[in-house]
Amino acid sequence: MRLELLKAKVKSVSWGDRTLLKNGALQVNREDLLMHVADKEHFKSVNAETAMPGESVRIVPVKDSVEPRFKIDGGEMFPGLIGAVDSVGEGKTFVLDGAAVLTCGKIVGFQEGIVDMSGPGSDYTPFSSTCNVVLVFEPVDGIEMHDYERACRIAGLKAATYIAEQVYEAGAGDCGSEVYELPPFAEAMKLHPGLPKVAYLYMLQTQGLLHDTYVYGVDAKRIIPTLIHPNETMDGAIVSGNCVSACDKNSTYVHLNNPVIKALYARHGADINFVGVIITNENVTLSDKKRSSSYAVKLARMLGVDGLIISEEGFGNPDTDLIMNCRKAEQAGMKTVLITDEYAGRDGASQSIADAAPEADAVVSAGNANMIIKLPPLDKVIGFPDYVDVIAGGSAGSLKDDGSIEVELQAITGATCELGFTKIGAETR
Amino acid sequence: METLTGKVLLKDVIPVSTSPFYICISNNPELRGKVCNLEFVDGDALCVIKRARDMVHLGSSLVSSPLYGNFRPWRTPYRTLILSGENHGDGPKTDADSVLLIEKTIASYEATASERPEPPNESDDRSFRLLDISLMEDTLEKCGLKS
Repeated sequence: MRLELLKAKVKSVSWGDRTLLKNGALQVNREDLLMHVADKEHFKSVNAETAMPGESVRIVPVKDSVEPRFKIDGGEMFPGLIGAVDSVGEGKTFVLDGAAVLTCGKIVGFQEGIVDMSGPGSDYTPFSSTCNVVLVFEPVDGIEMHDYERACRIAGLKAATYIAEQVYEAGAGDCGSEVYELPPFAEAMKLHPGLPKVAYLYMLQTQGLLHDTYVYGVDAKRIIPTLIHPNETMDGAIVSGNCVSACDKNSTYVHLNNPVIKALYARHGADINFVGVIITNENVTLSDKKRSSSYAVKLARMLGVDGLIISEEGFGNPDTDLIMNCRKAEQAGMKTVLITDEYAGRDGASQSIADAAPEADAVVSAGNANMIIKLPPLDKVIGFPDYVDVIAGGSAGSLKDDGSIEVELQAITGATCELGFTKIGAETR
Repeated sequence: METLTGKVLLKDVIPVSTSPFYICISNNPELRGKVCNLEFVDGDALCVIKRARDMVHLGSSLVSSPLYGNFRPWRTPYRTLILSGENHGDGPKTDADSVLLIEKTIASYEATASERPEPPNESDDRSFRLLDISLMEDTLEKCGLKS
């Protein structure tokens, strides 16, 4: 399975008469974009703004981020949601590298995120480095919360795909090329003798309405763990419907650019044999947790892997799934490395995840989400700043009279991403 | 949140379940009249968890995880838990996994008691109630507890 990503570098974004890319400057026709995402059944209004790295702009509350992509030679992005349900992960996909569509609206106010384009907050969110088209939604009166979430999610996907398609059709100019390819299992198992076989167990948030992830449009809490080709994740097979826990939810952008998968590809054939990806869920009931962890580890055993990388999404309830996955894999003879974040209290002194096991002896932390950060006032706010007081990690009084905010890192979109898609980190070599 | 309705998440009315195997305990008033086999707890979230602990020691097992969404303890005022009421053989037999989980949850609440926030305003309170339902709706349906 071979996927080529054709990446056109985006260095700026602005509104214009046409949607095109010239010398790294992305120009978007605002009216056409708004017409494309219009949805009178669900939205009272849709506004669109741009936000550039370094600008004195705060965006709140951010729901999802999506990288503009368009499949060039057949197939459609985000299958099962805005595209047909045919498999993705092959062929050529055009990428506006450096651009993002952010969706912004009141869904579950106290669990959504802040993106600051400058100042100390910008160090913690990866979306302060992207040239952003921000869609701001206001729902029609009386709409059901989950219908509104779905409408926002679909609008974000449509906007990102539309922008990429328009740019490609207008002639994108020079593109970089990245090729990702893994052989079929029968060949993969014989390749690289002597190197340890490693798979990736990719945990998806699926605790309930507003805590969902979709795979080919299927609600992932209704799946049993399954194999997925890593290229499919890069091509829109996994979409975030998760409105909660801004710091460690995996937005659609992050699913498309999963650093764990990129790192496994980079080391494939050098010091590991990367044989595949298993997706699993994080459900509410204990029996679901037991079923999914047993089944996911069984799949890893069927692949005969020596090592398993396990990444979590969210915290608290999913800590149970993380530890179940770890224990069962270790007991089956696989070495595991876990990727999580920590909720160690504002002083960092509390137990940092809700479950633990002696087998979990190799853990990568994406940071303490309870750490307090002070965000100074910025010149412009896109969205609904009143929600800062109730956002996750904030509390009554978080929003000061001068517009500054004192919150936990939990409130900043992507601050402790458990896939490692963060701006601050440390690496051992 | 003012534009969102609260009635919708449990809209699909199905016949009242006669299942003797599951019980829902909650301090969320929104569940009243929408869930059968509901034991309403007039107290805070920790009261709900302690009530579950008592039931576990009397032979019930936890069906839903006592760890709740992506929240630290005390972050939301509401808790809803589902337990299985079946006995294991002759008389109550305590489920060790349930005991460990519920005791760990109580310990985490007690260790973070200083983080308990002020009661939410009316709008936020409504959001917390809705989120509690949204987290549990699928499980309530699976257990035949929606009414």
